[in-house]
Amino acid sequence: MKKLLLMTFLLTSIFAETIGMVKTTKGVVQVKRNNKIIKVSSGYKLEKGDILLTQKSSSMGIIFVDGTRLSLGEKSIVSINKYIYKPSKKNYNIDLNMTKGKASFSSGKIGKLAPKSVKFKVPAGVIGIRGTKFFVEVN
Amino acid sequence: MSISEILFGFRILVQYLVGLFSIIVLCWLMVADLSASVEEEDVEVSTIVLGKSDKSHNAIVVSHQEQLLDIDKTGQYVALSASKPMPKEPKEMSQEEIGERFSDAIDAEPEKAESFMLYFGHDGRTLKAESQDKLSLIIERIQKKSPCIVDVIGHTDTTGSSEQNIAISLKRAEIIKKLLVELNVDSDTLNVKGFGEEDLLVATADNINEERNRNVEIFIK
Repeated sequence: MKKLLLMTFLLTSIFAETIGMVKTTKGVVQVKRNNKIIKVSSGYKLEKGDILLTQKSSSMGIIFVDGTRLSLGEKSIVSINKYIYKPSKKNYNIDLNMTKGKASFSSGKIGKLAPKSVKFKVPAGVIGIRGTKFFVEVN
Repeated sequence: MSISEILFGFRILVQYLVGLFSIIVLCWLMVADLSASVEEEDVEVSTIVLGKSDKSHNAIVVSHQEQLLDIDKTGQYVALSASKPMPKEPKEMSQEEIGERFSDAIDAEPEKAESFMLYFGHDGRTLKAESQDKLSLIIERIQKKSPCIVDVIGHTDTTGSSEQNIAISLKRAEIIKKLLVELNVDSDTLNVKGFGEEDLLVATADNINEERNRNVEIFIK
């Protein structure tokens, strides 16, 4: 019984947690979740594992629950591999992977409290932050 | 010189010219082919630029093939290619070029998150007058940012046990949530959190009666 309760608790905590929100969209903006591609608009709640996609002449901006902001230009792909923001447990992690396109990143509370727990991957390298705003282009 | 000799010479010249022309075409194709393969090599180039930030410490560190490069000045950038080693020094990109190259991403940037602090008197239940006055501004900002996520985070000072303080901080956050819902804020957008003695606004030792730590933070995203 205890195990069952623990499992339900774990499952709900893994699947239901909102880690951020889509704030701006232009053109065709999609999120790939559990191998399904969904067209999204402003107000869409994001979860860990989501992949952000923008089509031609399209763009999107999102905000994570710690205040970290990420926006994508056209024809861009960024996956949210990991995201943990638990200040009461001092547990923080951001792991993003950009495979294509253009992006602007501005750090939030995690960048201030635990900058070393932020990783932004591009095909040829990894960007680590020290409390920051930066732009990325992947061709 | 006979006419046939002139014609023969002319034929040789034409053949020579045709030959020369075909050689030129070949060279051009080879050059085109070369430049095409150069472009292919550059396909996986990633450009990383440090932007302007209002934060006091603005810097990134880029790692590539076990090498590290610090970038700590606005406008500095590095271009990475999978097949080449990382440049030793960052280069400079002008604000105009950044604006042009990243215009669509910049236009899509969401507004910054906003934080408001509400303070309680020592009874721990009622808001101080100036905090009470802030509520209308907070509601205005929530409406302006909607759809948004709003955290209502309770903090305490360090008097009492930490278990007690987590309960107290949650209770204070709940008081504020109730106030905001009464003022027509959608309760679904409000996430109540109690941080207790963790993440103090003003760092103090244990059992210190610090007014500035008896607060609720409204964090609007």
